[in-house]
Amino acid sequence: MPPHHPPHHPPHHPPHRDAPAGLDRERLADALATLLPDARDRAFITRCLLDEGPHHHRGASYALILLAARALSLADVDAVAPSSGTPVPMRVPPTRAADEVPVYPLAVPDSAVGRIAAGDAHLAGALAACLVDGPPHHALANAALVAMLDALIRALEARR
Amino acid sequence: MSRAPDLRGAFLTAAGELGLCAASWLFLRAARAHGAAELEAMREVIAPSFPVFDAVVEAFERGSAGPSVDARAVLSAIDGATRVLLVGVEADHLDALVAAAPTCELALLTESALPADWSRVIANFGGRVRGVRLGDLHTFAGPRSVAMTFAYGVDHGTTYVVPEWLRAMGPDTRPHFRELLAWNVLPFPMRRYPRWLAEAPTATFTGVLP
Repeated sequence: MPPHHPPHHPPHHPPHRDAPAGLDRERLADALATLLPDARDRAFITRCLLDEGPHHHRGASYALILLAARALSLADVDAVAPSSGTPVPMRVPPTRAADEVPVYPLAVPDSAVGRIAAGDAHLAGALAACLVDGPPHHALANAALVAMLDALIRALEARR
Repeated sequence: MSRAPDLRGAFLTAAGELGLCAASWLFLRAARAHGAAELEAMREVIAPSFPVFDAVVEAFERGSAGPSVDARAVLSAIDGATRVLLVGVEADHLDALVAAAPTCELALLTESALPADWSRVIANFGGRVRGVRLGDLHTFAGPRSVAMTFAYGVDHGTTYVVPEWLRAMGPDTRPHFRELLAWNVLPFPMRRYPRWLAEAPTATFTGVLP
């Protein structure tokens, strides 16, 4: 009896898609306005989210951040830059000391990961490291989204 | 005996260390001092290989007096920046930038298809500019860092730049710089194929400055 060969499945590759038409740069920048009050910082991060990285990520980040912004708007809450957090590092070759690696002007709030880790500082640090890991368009979308959700959760908790 | 190879070689050296536009105006003035016929003879030798020179002579013959170097738009675009990485040489414009931005750390990519003695080029800026290799661009990365090159005209969404800009500003390095600027040094159209230059979509810059 011939050996059984499983049916051939082509390796998985994410489909290549163009960035969706109709992404409104100003709308995304407005959604980040309270997190990134400096206009140049905001333009920089908006570019990283909408013009850099894989095309499908641009649309995904746009959708997620605008949904979070809508939720914040309904709750009448502004997401502001965290007073303490883990900034998104630039992905430069690892020739510099960790404290010399340049960072983006956007951070994952300590309060967000602290809430999930429930007092486990090691876990909180590990979660923050996961969120800022990866290419900049990805990590920046993570940081923005987590900061926005954190602001929303804090506001809802305060109203209970 | 033809002077053509010597003249082309001299222009090549000047273009490598001063920039295509700065060298063009320098050679134009030198030839013009000896009369219109001398300039026309120079144009016949240099222009086929150097379209920027051709465009500069054409502009001169149509009344342009020379390069107009105004750093104000650049200073506005780099406001708040602590570092500016420069890709490409244009001596007149670099001199203006060095003088106008005394607090900015400036670096110049020491790579070019044109020949250049980079130690001599860097020495021209009195310690204000340091050289940086392609492999060390990340040392200039940062949220207050700007990368800037020189544009040799903008045409229907295409900006003509030195090819090193395309080598330097790949998908990995573009997010390392807050601004990606082109300072247009050739506000005249080129009539010849843009040798020595490359096409970059204008939309890939955060600003193209006059």
